[in-house]
Amino acid sequence: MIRWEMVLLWAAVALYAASAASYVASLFFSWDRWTGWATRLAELALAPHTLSLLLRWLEAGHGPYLRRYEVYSSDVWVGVVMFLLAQRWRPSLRGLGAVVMPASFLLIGMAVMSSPEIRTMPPSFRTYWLVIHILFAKLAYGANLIATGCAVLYLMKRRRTERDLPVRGLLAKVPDLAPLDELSYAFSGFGFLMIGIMILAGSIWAKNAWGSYWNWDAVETWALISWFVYGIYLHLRRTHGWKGSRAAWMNIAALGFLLFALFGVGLFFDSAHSPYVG
Amino acid sequence: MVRAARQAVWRLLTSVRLALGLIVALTAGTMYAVSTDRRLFGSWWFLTLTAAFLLNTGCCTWMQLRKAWRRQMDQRPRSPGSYREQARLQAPGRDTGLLALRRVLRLRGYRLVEPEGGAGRLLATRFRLGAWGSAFFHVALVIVILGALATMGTRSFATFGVYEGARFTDHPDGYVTVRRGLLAPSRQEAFALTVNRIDLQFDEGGALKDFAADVTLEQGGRIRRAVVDGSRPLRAGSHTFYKNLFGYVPLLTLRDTSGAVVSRLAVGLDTTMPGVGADVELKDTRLGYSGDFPIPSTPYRVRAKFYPEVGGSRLSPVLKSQVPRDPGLWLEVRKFSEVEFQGLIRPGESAQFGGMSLTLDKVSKWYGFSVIEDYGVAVVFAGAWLALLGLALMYLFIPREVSAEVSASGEIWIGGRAERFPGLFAEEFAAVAAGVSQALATPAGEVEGEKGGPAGRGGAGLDPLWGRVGREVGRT
Repeated sequence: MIRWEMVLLWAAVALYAASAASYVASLFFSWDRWTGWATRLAELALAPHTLSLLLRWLEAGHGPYLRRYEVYSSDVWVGVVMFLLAQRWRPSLRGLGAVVMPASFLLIGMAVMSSPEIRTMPPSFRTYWLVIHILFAKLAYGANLIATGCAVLYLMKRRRTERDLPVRGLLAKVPDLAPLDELSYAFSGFGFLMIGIMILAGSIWAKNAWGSYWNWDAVETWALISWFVYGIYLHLRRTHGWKGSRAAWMNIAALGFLLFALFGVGLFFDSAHSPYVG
Repeated sequence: MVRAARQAVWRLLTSVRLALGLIVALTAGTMYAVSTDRRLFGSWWFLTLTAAFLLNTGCCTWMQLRKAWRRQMDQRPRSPGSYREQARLQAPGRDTGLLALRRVLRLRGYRLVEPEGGAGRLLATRFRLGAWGSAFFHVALVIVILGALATMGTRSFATFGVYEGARFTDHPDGYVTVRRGLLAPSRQEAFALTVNRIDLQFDEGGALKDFAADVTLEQGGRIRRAVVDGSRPLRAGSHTFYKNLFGYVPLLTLRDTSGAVVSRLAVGLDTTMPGVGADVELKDTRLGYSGDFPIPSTPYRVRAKFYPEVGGSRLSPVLKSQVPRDPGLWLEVRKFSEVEFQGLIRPGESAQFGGMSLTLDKVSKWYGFSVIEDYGVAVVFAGAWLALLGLALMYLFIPREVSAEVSASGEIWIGGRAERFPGLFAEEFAAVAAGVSQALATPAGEVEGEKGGPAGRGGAGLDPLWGRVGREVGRT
């Protein structure tokens, strides 16, 4: 079964790569027709990717949340689904693919390069709070990736506008600067809520397993730090009127903190989350 | 003078800049502590920052609550100039215009209010409750911080170990570690805990996965039997027993030259956590579990390595698995620095040294518990849920308002504003105006949204934030 799962995952990787390349081409070379193809390729990639995750689930007997291979792959799946839903809701957000798809390709690339060995679930992981905790971690990743995608497109579009350069291709189709900036803000607010639920569900789980809802574990502390950083960003926008370029740059920096908390900390520090990132 | 000073202090306490500065300082402090020494979270400067943040958040919360209350009670339409979005349309008459407005706004989920004495005027609001989001969130933050401080002050934490079949009675001297908050209340009822049985779970490779204890708890005349493991703590009144450690216990008998029993030893080896315990350490699973202990009333010290399933040779044993199928105990008996015995013994076998013998009778197990009382935890969780509710109100339910006035001749003025995201609201406002325009153009006053089109709720139902964007209309 693992062989089929790998074949399907590699098929998804190839389709994600093609989708990412098409989006980037339509962004930089104004090849408008490629945008539609890029979206279709992303939708197509979801089929083998979903099957691969389901096969893995059946084989391992638990959800895809142990080891880098499973975590990165399922995070990519959630991020791509959220992006595809966002661009269905608002077709002008299709341009986000130029940020979301290359990021997804990189992450799934890291997944296929890591060990696919199945790890049995530690007994302390057998709780539905873990499922809630992980689900909201993935939603936080997806929402904030989209928020940062909006921020990146905002910066690119603004740069061209300020230099009186023609805004063509994919950039011409994304929302105007003001709504784009606000979409970044709105998705960050949603992501902030998701990180909050993730932290709370994790602390309830920790309380049931070890008796302490907060252990200053490296991963949980960095999740709190990234929540603080998003809190500062939202506070600056809401009460200090931050918007435009500086808000966009801060949004990009905040995503850096979140990505480090989700994917980086476990590689550098000892943590109760080691089975998750090992 | 005093009044001015009071105002200055109040301004400082409710300052958003101070809040931001404190959040930045707490973030930096957290990053520093987590990368250097986690005990710094209990240091005076971290607690001072937390207390200052609590005071600042409390004062900001009071301001937020007053602001939200005032906004909730204010039902008056604003002056036309205060609406960022405005549009003008023409209806055949006042009644037709009002009808079209009501239908479109209702379809988009707005609540309609007819202002008193305002013939031809209409006020529509959506997600007014969202105005309370920030206040809810700030109240919740105060509750969370108070709960965390209550935890720090009143939490008590202790660990103890019990051999399989043995009984532990609640006594200060019986605990391995005890940490109590300054305000922690003393336990009202002492308990006694008996470990009836310890069950082990192993994975396919023979590594220990989990350990569960079947226990009997006696407290205040009540007797309870339960199982404690990684996902099932035992709750008893204000305190809870959690799984903490597990270890094997080689049971040894020391005999003199005549064969008389000198002493019986039960050596509790820590087999789950490295570095716990003064003289017991799990160094490497390939080497087994090791310990170093004295033999009471003799000059001998013993270094032991325990193998639940032993492989290799008697002189160089290796650990085959953690499953206790074929246990072996490697011993090095020293008299001062002189090695008197070195080798592996199995159950029933003895080590001979200086005319004495040390026999491995059998192998038992012990279970380590942590017992915790925490009076702040419920407060923290209540505050955290409230904070999430506040965040949901803040970012999923954005309060917005549409005001309209229709003159007797049918001239319609529409104004709209949202508390946040004005750019996104402009798109929704355009859709509202387009819907009204369309309703006026259709003979029966039909709105496209009633068939699931862009102007009506069909679109709005897909999106709690802003609804689907309708066609563009000219804005004044």
